[in-house]
Amino acid sequence: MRIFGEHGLRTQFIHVGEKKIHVVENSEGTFTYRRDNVRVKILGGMHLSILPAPAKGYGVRFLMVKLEPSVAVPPTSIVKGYLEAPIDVKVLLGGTEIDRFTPCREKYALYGEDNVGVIARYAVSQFFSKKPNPTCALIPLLIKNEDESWFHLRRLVFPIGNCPMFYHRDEAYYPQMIVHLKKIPFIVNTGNPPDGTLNVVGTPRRIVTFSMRWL
Amino acid sequence: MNSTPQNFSSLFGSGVTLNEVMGAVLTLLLLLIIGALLRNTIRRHSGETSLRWIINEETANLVFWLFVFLGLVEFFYNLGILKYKIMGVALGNLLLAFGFFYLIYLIAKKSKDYFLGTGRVSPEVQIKAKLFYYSVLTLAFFLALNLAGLTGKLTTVLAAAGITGIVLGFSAQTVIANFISGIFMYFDKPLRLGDAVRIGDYEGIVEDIRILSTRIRLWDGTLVRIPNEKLFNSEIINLQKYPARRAELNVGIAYREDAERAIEVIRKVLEEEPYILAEPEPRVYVNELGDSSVNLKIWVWIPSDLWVGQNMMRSKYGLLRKIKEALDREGIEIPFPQRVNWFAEELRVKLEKE
Repeated sequence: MRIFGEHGLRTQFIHVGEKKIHVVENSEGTFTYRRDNVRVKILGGMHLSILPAPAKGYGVRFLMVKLEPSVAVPPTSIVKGYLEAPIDVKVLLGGTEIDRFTPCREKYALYGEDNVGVIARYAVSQFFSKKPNPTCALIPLLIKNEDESWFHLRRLVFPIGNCPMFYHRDEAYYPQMIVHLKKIPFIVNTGNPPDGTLNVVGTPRRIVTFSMRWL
Repeated sequence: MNSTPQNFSSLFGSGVTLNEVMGAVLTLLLLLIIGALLRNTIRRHSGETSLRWIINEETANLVFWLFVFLGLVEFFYNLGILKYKIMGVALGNLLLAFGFFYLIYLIAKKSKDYFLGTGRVSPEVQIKAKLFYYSVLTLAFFLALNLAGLTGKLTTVLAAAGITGIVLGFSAQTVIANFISGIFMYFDKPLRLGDAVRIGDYEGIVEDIRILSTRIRLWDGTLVRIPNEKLFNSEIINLQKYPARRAELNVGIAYREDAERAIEVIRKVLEEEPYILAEPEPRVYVNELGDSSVNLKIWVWIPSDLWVGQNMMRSKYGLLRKIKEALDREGIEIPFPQRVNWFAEELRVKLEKE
């Protein structure tokens, strides 16, 4: 079933993760958008768009994924894979956002020390070598161990503030992430789609890097 | 034709010739033209500059009026009307200095207001705006002194000000203490604009830090003004200095309940609650064997900005409600205080017949 993209305005249910959107046509030809306690009366138009957005939640800019089980990366190797991750979903009429919600589990964590850390969106995922059927969204990952020794990865922190998102029917993707494993690993949000067939939300090719000071 | 200078003399006092009147008019016109040109130039550029805080319609008008004022003072001075001296300084110079200072003050104030009036501005911008304002005022003050011809007398003025300062110092100790505390606070930086703070009985957001006082917007929407001296000597608790805070909650369960099971139930609630941080992990443990209950302590880490003010509704109070509901659902009793009384001798109770 198609979740993301444009939906014609008619009476229908749209399931997005754990949430349910209900569009109802009123007798006078208008529509009512409902989701949990949100109600919006739509007085005109033909479509509404449901699009994936970075998991900013209450207003964070990072996403921490705890790897369970943790991962050991061989020296001087390149590994390709995926992680499961939460997203936010925004509902638009034209370019105007009328609703934003979290379709998957919402949780946060402190990355770093008590006094200099940062609050990040939190998720637990295993490392998938092949594309899984995600419950929420996927992070395409390229891990490059540039060191001469093995690297034990327990978690990864991605910079996601205002990054573009990609989708195809019911699948949402973060941009391609590259993890450079060094003494202080750093993560590159390339802003590029994992493949060229996906639809884009936002402006692609906006490179953001982040050094993981705390492993 | 010799009568014309005499006419002007009778009009403007002795010694004013037609040439001087013409010169005064020309000077006035010249200054008006320069003012108008400057006004138009500023107006033209106001639409295309990023410096709209200073180059804007209001500044253009003020600059024009500054030149009008300068022109008028110069005009009347040239005609001899403003040449009268007060304490050795020409009235025209005094007027010129006062008007110049006042108009520069208006320009600086409007620029500062423009800075601060455009929505929610960051604390850094607020400080820059104030710094700009006071720097311009200081510069304008000394320029005005120069225009008035008082520069040479500045030392005397400062000496007089020093003596006056000592006299005022004794009579205005509080004001000066507040002022000095304000300066120390600026460098000490115990709080910044927008911080959530607790100072004595007050808790709220720092709204403004001024020279003499600091304003706190309390959670109930009222504003409290705390003199800087009092603030400087108070214990200031900054509630949002760090990204996360540890919160403590206490829950009592009945003695007959399984404490381990109660801890598990509470842990599950904490795990499902979005704003309770997964890392650092929450902790629940038996803290005390109380008079009426086994007291459990809950330590949770939470984003600092969600554990203050109105956000408490969805963080603390919502969490307490969910814990209560979960314990109720599992049939775990939260007891009220109980006391068992033992009587040394048997109690005799007399029952009355109806």
